[in-house]
Amino acid sequence: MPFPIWLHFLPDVPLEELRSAGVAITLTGQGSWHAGMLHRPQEEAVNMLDLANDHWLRNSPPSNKYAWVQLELPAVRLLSVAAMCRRITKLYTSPARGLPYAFRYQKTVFNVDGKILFGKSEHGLTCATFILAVLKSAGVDLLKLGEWPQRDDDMDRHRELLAMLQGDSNVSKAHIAEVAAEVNCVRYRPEEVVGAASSAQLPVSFLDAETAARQLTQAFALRAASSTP
Amino acid sequence: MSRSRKLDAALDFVFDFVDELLLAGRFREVNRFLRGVPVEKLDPAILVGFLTITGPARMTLDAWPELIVRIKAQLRESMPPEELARVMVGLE
Repeated sequence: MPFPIWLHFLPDVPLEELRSAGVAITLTGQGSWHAGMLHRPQEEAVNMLDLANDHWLRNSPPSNKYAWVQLELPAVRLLSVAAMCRRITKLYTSPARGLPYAFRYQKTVFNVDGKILFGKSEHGLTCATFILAVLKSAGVDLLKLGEWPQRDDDMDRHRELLAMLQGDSNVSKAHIAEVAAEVNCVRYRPEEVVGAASSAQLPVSFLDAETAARQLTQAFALRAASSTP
Repeated sequence: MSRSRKLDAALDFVFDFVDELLLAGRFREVNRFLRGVPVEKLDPAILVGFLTITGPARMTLDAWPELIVRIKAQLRESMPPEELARVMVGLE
């Protein structure tokens, strides 16, 4: 099976080919993924803006373990998405600021003043919902959020992530309690968000995002198999 | 400085300047600034940047309805209707 044409593995397809803004994803473990926003000031190196952990927003070039997807938006919109990424970088990549990590997502956006505005009963973002929030803040609705189902295996993944937060002494007990109450919430998986970003027809339905995520997962598996001696 | 670098620098200026004013609650100055945007002299990417950064505050900015009318009229000059429709998704 060939790779989907919208998924570009580094270093085979270099980021020089990125038009202003896109998304990137990598496998971090068995069935677990990490994703971030790619943005490039014209003629400069591409950086990935990603929520790596609670209050840890990074902005640095992605490693060659990542694959990337070009956002299929008009060029003038891509420039604004990249500018939004730079604005968020200025406001939140300082270690003292960062962004809180939490599961529930529906309406959180970066407000007009550049500050994060949490939706009702929302307390933070994941790596995947960070992408949704950045795009939403630039006027781009990536997913038909209302179509996402609750899935048992998402609850398991939330519990794993919660355990990681609980093991981090820098995370307040109050915040851990808030996140613990979100374990049952709907999860927008990184592979679905990144897969959806390949679509020119937005917002993307759950079925289309799920299909794209499956293609992405298969491509990573094939890539790993082909590089194993 | 190349055109693309100038575009990025101009977008950063728009985003930072408008953000800082809104953060400080200086809505009157933002309205005055938006009313004075010379839409006929700016690149379409900058015009879209204005709509992107001010869109979330459209309900609190008196100048916004007039701004979007002026920007759409200007964009219509530089792109076909189907492209304009695609560019405007989520900005109105």
